[in-house]
Amino acid sequence: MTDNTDRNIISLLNEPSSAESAAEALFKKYYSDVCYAVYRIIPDVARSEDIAQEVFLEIWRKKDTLNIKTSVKAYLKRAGVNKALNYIRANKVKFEDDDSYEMQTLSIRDHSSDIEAQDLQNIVDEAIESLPPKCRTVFSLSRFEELSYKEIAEKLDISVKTVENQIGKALKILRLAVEAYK
Amino acid sequence: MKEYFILQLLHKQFTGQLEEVDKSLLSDWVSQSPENKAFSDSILKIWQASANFAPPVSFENRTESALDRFRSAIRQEAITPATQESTILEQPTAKIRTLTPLKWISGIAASAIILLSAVFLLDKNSGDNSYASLATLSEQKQEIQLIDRSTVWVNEKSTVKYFDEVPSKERKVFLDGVAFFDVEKSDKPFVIETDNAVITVLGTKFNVNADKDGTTVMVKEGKVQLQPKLSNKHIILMENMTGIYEVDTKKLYRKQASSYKGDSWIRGGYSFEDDSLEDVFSVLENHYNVDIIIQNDDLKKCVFTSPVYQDSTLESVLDVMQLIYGFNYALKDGIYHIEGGSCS
Repeated sequence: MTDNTDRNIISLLNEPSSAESAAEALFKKYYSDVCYAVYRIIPDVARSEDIAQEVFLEIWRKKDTLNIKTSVKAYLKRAGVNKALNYIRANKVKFEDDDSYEMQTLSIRDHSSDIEAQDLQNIVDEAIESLPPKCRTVFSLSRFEELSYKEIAEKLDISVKTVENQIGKALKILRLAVEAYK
Repeated sequence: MKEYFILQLLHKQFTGQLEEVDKSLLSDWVSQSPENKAFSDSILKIWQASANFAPPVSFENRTESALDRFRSAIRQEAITPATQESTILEQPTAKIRTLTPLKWISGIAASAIILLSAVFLLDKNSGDNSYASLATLSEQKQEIQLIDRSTVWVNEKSTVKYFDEVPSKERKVFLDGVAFFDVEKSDKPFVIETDNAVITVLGTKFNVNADKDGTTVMVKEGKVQLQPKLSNKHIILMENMTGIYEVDTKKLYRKQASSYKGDSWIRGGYSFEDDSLEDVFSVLENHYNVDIIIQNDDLKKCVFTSPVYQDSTLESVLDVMQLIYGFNYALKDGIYHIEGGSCS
């Protein structure tokens, strides 16, 4: 469900006199949400910001025929995720060739002086951030977009087997990261 | 090799993708030794923590400069205004009116102002048929007369997309939110598609409450079929029956009630007589188009009798119930959480 103000903003987008300020209000309110949704899948700040710009520009272009059935926030995040997936497909990112990352990832965590202060959440956050990019993409699609193996395989144009392998690898890296702090 | 395999099985279990054959394999492995159990528990903890992943970058700080970029981008776009006025003029058939509680159900308010503040769009691109859309705001209800002479009452914060030409095959409507349908009999099936289920009828009266978490149908008259989208199972619902599909548990089930309360929100008033709190909360969810989660299972079975609440706010009703049952309620992320409480 969408709250009142969002519906108002969307309806103001339809009127030439208020369209620009409505678009800016929408942008201010949700730009960072869209960036985070994209960044979870593509850990590249500049690329995430480009994709978020595209999302809002497209809303602007389609403002007269916009049909948002979910909440506006969910709609915008979904649009960002879809664009991120298109980007991955268009750039034919290979999903099998980054095994060398694993050791590198593990050697990062040697600042063990503040073990006490590190709670599980911090360790997990840091470990996700350090996942190999393709592994990170597959993991995020499962974790945050709640896609099935089959859906991830279809969206990334890879095999279900590859999805399974990347998931196994992601969990192993997270486990080792947590283990290292015990 | 082995570890990868176990991790994959665990992940499948967490995401509900574990196949029947692997279930016993995994549970056997887990119960084999305390170490295995500890391993599986620690992976679950990691998986749960990963849901709250917060990346070490702040996009909030970058919004201002990004906004400048966006502003110059949209100013470069050629502006081709299609005003709301012209959109309405193109809208040929379906009649819409804003509902004033109490009056409109009798049809007295038939001349009420058209399109007070609803967002109204025409979408000519959905396949062969032409559809129109209506989205209601908070505290706004709308009645739509469809061209087959069926009537749809749309509750607040809901979106309906409906056929606005005589359809060749089925009469199709899309719904996110709460609506009551009075469907005119026809040999063309009337089909309501929600995010996660499909409801099929020929001619009848019933209420639908649909969002991404599930679809609930309450039948007032006639016969209605409810089918989840990703399933070939369906249930048939008759008078005073409620059919429920829950997305997260994939449960599809029905309940029989002694009286009909699915359209209380149209009249603005409702009352309860020895109704279980589980049923009471589903009436409130429907009436105010909100989500309510009862944390305490024992509370669901308590019975509640009330005077007629007419145009009351949800909070005022919850406050009364809170005094009786001693529960706490809190609005978190748009969902009302009911915690604690007991029947006495």
